[in-house]
Amino acid sequence: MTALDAHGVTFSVRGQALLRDVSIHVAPGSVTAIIGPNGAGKSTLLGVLAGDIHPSHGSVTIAGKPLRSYSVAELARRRSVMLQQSAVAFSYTVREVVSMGRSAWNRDDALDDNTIVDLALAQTDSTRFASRDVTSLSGGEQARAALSRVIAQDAPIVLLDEPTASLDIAHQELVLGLAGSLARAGGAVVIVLHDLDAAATHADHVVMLVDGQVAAAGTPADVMTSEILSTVYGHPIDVIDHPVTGRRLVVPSRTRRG
Amino acid sequence: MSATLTHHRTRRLAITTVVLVALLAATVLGSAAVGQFPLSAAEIFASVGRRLGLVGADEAARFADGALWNVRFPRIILGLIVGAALGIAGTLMQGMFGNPLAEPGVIGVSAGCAVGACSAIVFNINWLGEATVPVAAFVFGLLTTFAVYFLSRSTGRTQILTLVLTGIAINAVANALIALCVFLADTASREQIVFWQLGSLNGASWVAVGATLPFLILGTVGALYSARKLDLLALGERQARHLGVNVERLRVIAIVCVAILTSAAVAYAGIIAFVGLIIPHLLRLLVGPSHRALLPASALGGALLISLADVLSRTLVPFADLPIGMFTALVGGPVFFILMRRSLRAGSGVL
Repeated sequence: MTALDAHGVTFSVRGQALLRDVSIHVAPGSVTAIIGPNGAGKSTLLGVLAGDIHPSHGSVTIAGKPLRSYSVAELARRRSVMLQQSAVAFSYTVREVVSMGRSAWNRDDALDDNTIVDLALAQTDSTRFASRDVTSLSGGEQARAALSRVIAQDAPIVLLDEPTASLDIAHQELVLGLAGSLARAGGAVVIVLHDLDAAATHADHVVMLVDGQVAAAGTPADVMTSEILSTVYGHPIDVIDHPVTGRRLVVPSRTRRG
Repeated sequence: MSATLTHHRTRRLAITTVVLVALLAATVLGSAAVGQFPLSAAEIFASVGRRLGLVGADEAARFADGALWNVRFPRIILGLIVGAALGIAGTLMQGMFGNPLAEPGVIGVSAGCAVGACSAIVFNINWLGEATVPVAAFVFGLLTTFAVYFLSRSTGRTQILTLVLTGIAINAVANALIALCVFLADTASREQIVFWQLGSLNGASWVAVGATLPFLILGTVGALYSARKLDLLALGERQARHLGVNVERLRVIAIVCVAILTSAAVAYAGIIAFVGLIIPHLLRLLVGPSHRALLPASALGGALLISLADVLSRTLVPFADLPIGMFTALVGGPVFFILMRRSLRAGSGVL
């Protein structure tokens, strides 16, 4: 089982601390949502967890070993990353892009690779445009293609930076459900999310960042209370139970004009 | 969307390769045939046969053999080498920059080569005899490329924008040095520099072929080794790293290969612009962006373009050898513009 841990991570740029003493534990078989207001350091934390950013203090470990002790290729077999930006420079087909997810693995069984790529395309509902030029896709389609690539990489740790940002509501639910099934299959999944309601429903564990620090961490029930959310976001937020299903709903307080 | 783009591209790759090889063969034959001493295809084949010992000696064809083996063949082969080197160098650059409009000159290789060659010409440096000017171009080209690369590194990584801007600065300094060389030069050297800057295969010889071929092979091997990794780089630097590519190492290999290939091309033939820019761009539209297909296709395409341009430069004006760089720029400029307009309209956003 491959757990991902951050131990007292601090990251500063020109004296300005973007992350301060952040420690998190991402267990295999769980979905961890990172939430927080704009500029809280969510994407920076994801970059540190991915190994793109080296922390000024503290360390990140995969299966107990420091990130830096892994080679680039070893790391690619242990964690996959989906960034917010998924534009591709040249006109590869979607299928070619998804196949690139397999590149860290030895290609002694290309047939197997094809099956994995087909499955990854189907899981994000991308099979339909698999043979299209990736630069001709809409933002949402590009994001789904990028997610297929991440799934095809077949790594036990999956880091997703706002994977639902450009998706319609049906595909948002598809992607969040997919994150859940990756976790149930033993994966350690980290998602940066802005949608609090989605985080409350789909995450097993929530880490709330404010000004580069962990303001609260725990189960959605612990972290996502009306008091904490309203204080952190500076806007009244209601946490209520769904009248029919009883599911927890997180909704901003809105007053209708007029 | 039914008919798959992948199948289209596989078929197009086959067709493109066959067409390029056929055109190249025809151009080479035509190039061997035309000149102040015209030869028929039969005479050319007979001469090759004599050289290979397949056909008996023919005293009457001594003049034809001389023209072919001393003048035309080395020139044709050097043209193929130069074209292939520029085609591959351009493809590498574009792959490395993730931008279809990047060109080897951007990072200062050509200008660096020119400084080396001009210095050798102006200061009459002659240590290596005939090979002094080309070797000086090689050395300066490599030095310049490494200078650009290391100057543009910050916090252990190279940002593309920094690399391009550093290239601009290096180009400016190199051009100032070239201007100084031209200023200091006597009339004869000045003419040589100007001619060299325009690009020509006039100086071709078997020595030139022998000196550049190993560089072409070395650069091509490095390029093909990097092909798959360059594909991943199209996703973005961070994304490529996430997929297991050591981006820094890939970039060093690509830069060294670009420097080797461009220096090899520029050293004997001067600055022939736009080949490395136009050829990969055009062929990407035909065979798709996968570097395993694009690199060999660009080598063929570059070789074809230079060969064609050379035939034109030798035949357009009787008894004159026009600069070949003039042709590639005349064709390359407008094509470049059309391609740029097209990709702007397509909204690919990579400009």
